[in-house]
Amino acid sequence: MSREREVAFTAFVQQHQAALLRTAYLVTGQHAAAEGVVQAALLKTYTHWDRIDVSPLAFARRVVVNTHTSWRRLLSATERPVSDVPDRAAPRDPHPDDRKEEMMAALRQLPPRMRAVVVLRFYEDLSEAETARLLGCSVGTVKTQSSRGLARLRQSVAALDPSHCTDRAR
Amino acid sequence: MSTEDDVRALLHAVAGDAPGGSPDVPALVVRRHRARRRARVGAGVLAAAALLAVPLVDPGPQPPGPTRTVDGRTLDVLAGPTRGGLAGDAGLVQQLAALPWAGADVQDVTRTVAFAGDIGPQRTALVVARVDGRTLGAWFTGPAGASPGELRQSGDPAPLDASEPVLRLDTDPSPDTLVVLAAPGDQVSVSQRLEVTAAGEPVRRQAPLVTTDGAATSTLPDASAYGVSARVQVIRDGTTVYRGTPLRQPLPAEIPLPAQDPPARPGQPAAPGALVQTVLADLVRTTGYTPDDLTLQTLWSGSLPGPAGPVPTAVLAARFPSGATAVVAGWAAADPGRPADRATYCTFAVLPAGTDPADHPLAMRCDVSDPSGTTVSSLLLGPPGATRVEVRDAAGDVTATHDLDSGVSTAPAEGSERTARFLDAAGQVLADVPLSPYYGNGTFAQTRPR
Repeated sequence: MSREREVAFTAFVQQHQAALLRTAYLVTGQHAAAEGVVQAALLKTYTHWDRIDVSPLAFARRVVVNTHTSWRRLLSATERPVSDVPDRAAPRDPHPDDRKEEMMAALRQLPPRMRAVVVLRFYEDLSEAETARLLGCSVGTVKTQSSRGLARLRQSVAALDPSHCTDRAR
Repeated sequence: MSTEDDVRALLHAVAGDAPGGSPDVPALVVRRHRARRRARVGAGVLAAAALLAVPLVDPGPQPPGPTRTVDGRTLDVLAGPTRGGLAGDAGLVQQLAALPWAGADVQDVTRTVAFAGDIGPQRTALVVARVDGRTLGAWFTGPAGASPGELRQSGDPAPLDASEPVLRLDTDPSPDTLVVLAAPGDQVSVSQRLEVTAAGEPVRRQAPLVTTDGAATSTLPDASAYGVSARVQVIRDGTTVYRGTPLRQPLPAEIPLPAQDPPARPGQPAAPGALVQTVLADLVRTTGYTPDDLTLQTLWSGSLPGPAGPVPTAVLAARFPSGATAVVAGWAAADPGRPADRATYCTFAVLPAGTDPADHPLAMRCDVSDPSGTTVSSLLLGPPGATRVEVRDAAGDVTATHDLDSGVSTAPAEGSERTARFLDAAGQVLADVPLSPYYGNGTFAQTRPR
C-alpha cells in the first residue's frame, strides 16, 4: 500500500509540480518561497494522500495558497499599504520583460488574500465559487477582493491602464 | 482585450518565470514524511513544519537517528551569542542588528545577529527577528571587509526553522561560500561533490570543517559550476543528526552538449531537446561533473501515446568518466505558460562500467500525463537478437506478447506488468528484466556520504 501510494504520488508530482510552482510563484513572488511552499504542500498532500476527499491537485493547490497566506498573515504587520501610487512616466514601448516585472511588483503590493484571489480567478481560471471554497471564504468576499485587486493592478501596471494606449498615441 | 484578459495574459507571462521544479522532489517529500513519522514516534511530539521554514534544503536521505535532538529537547540553533569571525566586534554586531530590512517591517522588533564573518571573498551576516514565536532571518552580504552600511540584504526575509541547522550558500562571487549554523557542540562536515564509481555507485567523501560553537564556514572551489553539488552533514554526540544540500543556484539556460556516441538505433528522430537538457542539468547539478566529463548516447527515440496525442520520448545514456552509465527514459511536451517544453522522467538507473547500455535489456513503465489524464505505456528495449517480448504479471502469467521493432516495443500498459522476458526468433529466452518503477534505483540526490 505504501509503495502504491509512493508511485501514485510520484506520478502526481511529476504531472503537477510545475503548475503548482507557477501558482506558488505568483502568490509568493519569490522563487525560494514558491519552492518552499510547494514542498510544504506536497508533504501535506502525501501525508493525507489516502484521506483526501477532493482531487490531490485541488488539495495541494489549496495548501499552497493557504500556507502562503497564513505565513504572510504572520507578517501582515510588516506589510504597509500603499495609499498613493507614486507618479511614473508611461513607458513608450514597454519591453515584455518590463511588463512582467511591473506586474510582479504590483502583485507583491497586493495583500496576500487579495493576491491569492487574483491568481486563482485570473491565472487558474477558477470560478468565484471554486475560489471561495478553496480559500474558505464567501463568494461575496471573492467578488470584492477580485474587484479591488483588479483595480489596484490597473492602477499600478501601465499596460492595464485603459488610458495608457491613448496617452501613447498622442 | 478587457482588463481581465490583460491580467490573465500578464499572469501567464509572469508565471513563465517560475522555478522549474526538480525530479528529486517526490523522493524528498517521501523521505521528509518518513523522517517526521519517526520523529513523532521517537519523541512523542508532532514534528514542526520544517519544509516551509527550510524551503530549499534537500535533506537527502535522513539519518536513522534523531534529526533534531538526542534527548527529545527542541533545539534552537539560532539562540545564543553571535558566531563567526566578526562576533567579537561588538560595535559591528550592533550596527548589523540595526540594519533596516526590506520586505518586512521589523523596526520595532528586537533583532539579534546570529552570524557575522568573512568567508573567502565574501562578508556574510545573518540577522534574526522573533515575531509571534516564529523566527525570521535576513542575510546581508558584501565584499570581505565591507562596513555594515555597505552590505546588501540578500533576498527577502524568510522564516527559519531553528530546530535544524541553517545553511546558506553563496555562488557569487566565486568561489562558492558556505555557512552552516548548527547547535553548539555539533561537528559539521561537507562534501563538495559526488563521484560515480565504475560499479555505478555514487560516492561522497565528507570533509570535516572547523566548527566553533556549532558554526562552520567554507569556500567550495570544487563544487559544481552548474549547480550546487555540496552536501552538509552534522554530527551530534557521535550521531549524524542532519544531512542537507544547500539551495540549488539557478542553472544556465542551456547546458553545453557533451560528446556523443552514435545513436544505438540509427534513423530515429533526435531525442527531445528538453529531455536532453533536463538530463544534463540533473547530472551536472547533482554530481559536480561538467558536460565535458560526460558522453551522451541516444538508446532509442520515438514517441509514446499521451492523452492529447503522441509525445516525443527517448531513452538516453550518459557515461561518466568511471565508465558507469546513467540511463534515463523520459518524454517532453509543451508546458502551458512556459516558453520551453517540459521534460518528465519515466525512469533513472545507473549501469556499471563494462555494461554496454546499447546492448542492455531495459524494461520501463512510462506514464504520459497532461491535465486531461494519464496514458500508461511499457517501453521495452531488448538485447541483441531479441525479436519478441513477453510481459508478465506478479504471478508470472503472460499478460501480453509483443514483436520488437528494431529491438524495441512500445505498448499500452495496464499496471499489472512486473517483468519482461525477451526472446529470440527461435523462442530462446535472452533476458528476464523487471519493469522499473519510477526513477528506477533513484537519482543521485539520495546518495549517502561514505
